[in-house]
Amino acid sequence: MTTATTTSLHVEHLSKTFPGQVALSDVTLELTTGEVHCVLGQNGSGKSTFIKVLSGYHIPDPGSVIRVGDTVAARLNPTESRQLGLRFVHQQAGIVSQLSAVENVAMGIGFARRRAGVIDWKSQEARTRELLSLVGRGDIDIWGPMSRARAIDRTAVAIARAIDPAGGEIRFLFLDEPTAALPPTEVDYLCELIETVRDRGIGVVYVTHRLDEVFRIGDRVSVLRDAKLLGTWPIGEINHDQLVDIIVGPPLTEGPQAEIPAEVTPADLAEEAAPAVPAGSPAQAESPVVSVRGLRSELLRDLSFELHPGEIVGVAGLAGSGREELPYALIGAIPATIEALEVQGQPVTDRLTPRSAKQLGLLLAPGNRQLGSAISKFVLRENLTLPAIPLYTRLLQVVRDRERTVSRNWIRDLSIRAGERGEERFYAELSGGNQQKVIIAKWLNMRPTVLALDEPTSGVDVGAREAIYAIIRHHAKEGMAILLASSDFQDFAHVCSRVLVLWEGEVIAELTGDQVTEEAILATVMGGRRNTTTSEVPVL
Amino acid sequence: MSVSDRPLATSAPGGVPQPAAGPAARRGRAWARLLSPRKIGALYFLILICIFFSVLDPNTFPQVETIRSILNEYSVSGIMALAVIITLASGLFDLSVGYTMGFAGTLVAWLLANTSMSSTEAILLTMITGLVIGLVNALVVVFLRIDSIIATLGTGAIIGAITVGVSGNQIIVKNVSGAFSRDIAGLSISNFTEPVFYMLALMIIIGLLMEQTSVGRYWYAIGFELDVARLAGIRVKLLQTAALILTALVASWAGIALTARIGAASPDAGPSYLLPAFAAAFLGATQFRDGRFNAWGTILATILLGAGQYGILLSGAPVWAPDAFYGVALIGAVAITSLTGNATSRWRGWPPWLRRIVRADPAAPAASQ
Repeated sequence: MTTATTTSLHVEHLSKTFPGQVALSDVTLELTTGEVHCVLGQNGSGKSTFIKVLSGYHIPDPGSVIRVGDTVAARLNPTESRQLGLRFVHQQAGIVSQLSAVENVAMGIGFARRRAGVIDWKSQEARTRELLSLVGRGDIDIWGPMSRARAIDRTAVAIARAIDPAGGEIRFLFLDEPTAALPPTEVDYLCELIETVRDRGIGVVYVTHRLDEVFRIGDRVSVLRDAKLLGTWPIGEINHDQLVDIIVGPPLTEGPQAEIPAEVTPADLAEEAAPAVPAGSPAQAESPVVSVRGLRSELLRDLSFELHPGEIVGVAGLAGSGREELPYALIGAIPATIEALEVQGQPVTDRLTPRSAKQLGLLLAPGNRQLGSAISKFVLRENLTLPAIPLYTRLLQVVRDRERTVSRNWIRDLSIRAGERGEERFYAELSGGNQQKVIIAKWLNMRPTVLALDEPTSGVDVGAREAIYAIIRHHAKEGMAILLASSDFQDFAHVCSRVLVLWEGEVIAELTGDQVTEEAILATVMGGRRNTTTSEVPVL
Repeated sequence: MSVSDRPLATSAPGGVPQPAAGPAARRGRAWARLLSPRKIGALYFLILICIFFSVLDPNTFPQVETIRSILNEYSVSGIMALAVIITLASGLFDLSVGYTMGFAGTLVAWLLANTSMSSTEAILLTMITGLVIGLVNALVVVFLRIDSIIATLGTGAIIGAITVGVSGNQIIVKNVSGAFSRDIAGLSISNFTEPVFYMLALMIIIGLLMEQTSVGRYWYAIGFELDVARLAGIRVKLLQTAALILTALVASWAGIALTARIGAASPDAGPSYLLPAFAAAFLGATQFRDGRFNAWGTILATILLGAGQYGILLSGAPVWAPDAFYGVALIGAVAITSLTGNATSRWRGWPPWLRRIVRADPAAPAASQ
């Protein structure tokens, strides 16, 4: 399965345009076997598109050239990609949970068969064992369903399947963020595994967000930003801080805050552009509206924090850091335990459920792409009033006119573009930004004391984004405490007075005041534990 | 109500969506939408069926008696279909309804035949048993969290076994065909039987319950997106339990009405009502309410399917023809229901003309990316 000589994979002038969006622009890059080549970049920078073009999933724009060894192609289909020796492990690993490891491995190149065409389970089992011991996991249960396996074993099976030599010669193994879903203790194993694969003469292309891994196993590193390749550097010639600067890019001279959205008047902006509560202002001294101690969930380990009235607190972190679970854990929507919870000074002893959290004024507005955000087959009005229907009910009857009035007010106040049919428009017919506004309106309508927002700007255009920021600021100024979890660092820079950075389920840093910039957050988020020793960021 | 009283950004030019036309024009369009074939296709189809059989059978079909027969004949089916939509709206399949109906019909007859109970007492006890069946279904589906299709297949089989056990696998006639039959399923206004009015009354009650009350709104929310309902703090378990109980109660009433109408209780009468009930429920969901299970569409569908079946029987088609008609109607109805959703992603790969036909809402934009 190893190649004796070095082979190169050249990508020249590779572009990929989607309707209304350039995903890759004129990327020229050389990969070689026997090295670990890390690919870095923020969300949406083009990393995944790059991998999907090489795997044959996307067709590149005309003019692109892919050369592997002696083969030159303008585009690849999945079969050609495999024949050229390219193997892929995608982010979700592509493991079928109901099937066993043996069957999952066989999905790569098919089952071993006997002459009659019957599956030869014995030799298939032997092959699976062999492949798994190759990746250092020869001892796992290969007959049980993968749903019972740990995340790392699923990843191991996916890698074992990818490097199955029966599928032909392997030259390059592409790993798309394999550590995102892994608990930290398993990252070591994966790094060793990658080194083993590389030492067999295979080129590993490793997409990640974690800079510590890059410096640990990388030989070279390439950075993508805004669909362009910014360059490739040998690992020895670049340091952590330089890399962060390259990924983030130069500070924007014309920040998004300078753009005034149509919905907000300049006066509003001037008033609200400043963080709602500057760090150390009197509001901080006020007693917290909610105080959480010892919050634990699948990803969160012993988290403690406080929210004050009028405060907008950001929650940043990589996928798998617990950032995505925090808002849901806070209202009891996912299994979680809280050691001590106080809401407005009153201790809450019962386990929270979304229902009891609602009664306490603790509400969650998930992003419009998140599970549980809204009902696409309900009209705008029905979505908006769903948590508050008893308020619009008279003698058992839900009074539509009351619902309409409320919906129209929100449509007006948040400038929701619902068209002629207004509040009777189906939710699914609204644009992403307007859907997001409906979700936020639905929860603001309940007058929360604490509003947790998850990904409030995902899938939202620039104008709506600004409007959503304005809504958040406005309500914080009225005394609401807001917890904002997001994978988009812009959100924090725009509205947050304080940002908690999560890493492996714990708060590793708290940025306040001037520190709340996109660059600082990104550096902290990607640096992980490194911050605790080297940066001047205060540690909680 | 609790609207933010200080508008956020009202001064923005063009920020407020203006209705393009006055209320009169809006109402006109609303009527046009309501009468659109895509909204009430079943009604037009019903008219076509009536014309078809009138031409085929000009002496027997186009009579007032036909309307009376169809309604009398299919009122129990209609009640069963109404029973089914309650659980369907809340995202559950209750496949035990047919057995529940058969059990109730048998139990009420057995009580009349073998005890000294009055009709009222027998009916009351039967309805209480129906409530218990609903509770058992809820226990298995909601609290043991077994998939509702499998769970109610299981409970249905058990109920069916009990029915056969109670009846001794015999048809019960004693004390049933007399006063009980006349009281419960006798002739009423202009020779329609009483079950027709039960059906219409239940249609109105269930229709209002599902569309005008918070309970109904919650049922739909749970059925469409369970996670949204949970995050909104809705008591999902309680409401699903209520739906299963109500379904069992209505099905029990259908069983009692059937026994009274026939004047006898057959232990295997119930299950044959299962398929028609689901057929009417799914076809009904394509009518009036854009893919939502609703009482009005369900009854319209029952009458449509009834008219089709009645016409087939009248025209002397072979005995298997009505069942074949039902089967085709069910598949067609489910296909239409699942395609009238609003998610544009569903439409990828469909030719535009087909989208326009199947789509229930003409005001919806053409599928776009």
